[in-house]
Amino acid sequence: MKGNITSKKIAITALLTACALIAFSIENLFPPLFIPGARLGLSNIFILLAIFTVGNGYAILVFLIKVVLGSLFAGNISAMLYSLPAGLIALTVQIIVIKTGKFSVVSASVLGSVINLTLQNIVFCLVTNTLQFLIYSPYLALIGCVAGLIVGLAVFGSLKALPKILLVKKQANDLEDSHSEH
Amino acid sequence: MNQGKKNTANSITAFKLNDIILYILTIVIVMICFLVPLFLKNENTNSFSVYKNDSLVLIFDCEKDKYAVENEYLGLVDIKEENGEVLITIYTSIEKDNYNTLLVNLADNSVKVIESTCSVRKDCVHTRAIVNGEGVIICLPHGLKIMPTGSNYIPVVTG
Repeated sequence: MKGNITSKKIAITALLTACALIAFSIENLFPPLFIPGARLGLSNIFILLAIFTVGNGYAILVFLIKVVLGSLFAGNISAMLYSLPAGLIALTVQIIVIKTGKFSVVSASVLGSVINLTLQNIVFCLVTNTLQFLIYSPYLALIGCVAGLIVGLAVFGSLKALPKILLVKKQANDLEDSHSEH
Repeated sequence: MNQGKKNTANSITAFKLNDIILYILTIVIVMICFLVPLFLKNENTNSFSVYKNDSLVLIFDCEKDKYAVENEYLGLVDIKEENGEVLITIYTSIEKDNYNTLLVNLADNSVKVIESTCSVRKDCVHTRAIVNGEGVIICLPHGLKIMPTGSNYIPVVTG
């Protein structure tokens, strides 16, 4: 979280956190996608948007608040045991990939989503001491691909639609370059 | 545009040529995930055990329709049987306000969680049934684990 903590950044972070929590809570009301624990992870749209609008540190902050408050709202504090470490590693990978500037947000989202769901399953197996749950790994990885693609495309569409003034300066320049080259 | 800018240029695009590397990496992870279940052994048993915080609550033998409940949990387990199906309610608190209800189908040797007060998500209810010793159901908020009885099998005499 380098640079000045401006009121604009605080406001955007708060807004994205609220949106992530709402998306997380609404998604919780629906049954999982074929496999227990498998969800599209629509709240990740707002976490990825935070990377582009307020920066990496704030994105991690949005993620942490979403996991802690989301688990409390769902009445499932134990979910933090596996969603926190897995999500943090996946988000770190996404931040590194996006920061290189060599990959698109969609591919970063797909990789992050697959890593997140796979790691969640591994951590869950370790926490519960039940290796049999690894039988769901292939299905979770496939669902991760689809979920990552949907989230990535949603983030891409949002970034194109958002006014450039909201984006981190470097990203705004990139978007401008991208438009001028087309 | 300088070199530094070039490195990050077009980062907001739907596809870049370098994405192929990430997609190949993703495919490798998915393939590894497909290999993992091959190394998991199937218990191939008709009985299952229920654990609460790693302590045994009950063992149920679907083939013999017999069960054994640990003394510690006698007042916290309610078992009803009708039409070839057994409903097992396991209360996870002494106040009996939190519970998981299991449905045992004796005809196809299966067990699944049909009701739970654990959380909004209810992952245990959405977990697929344990059939012929294949699968496992976990309710993390209640610390409940339902799994096929394997090497830790204890002869069933009660019920």
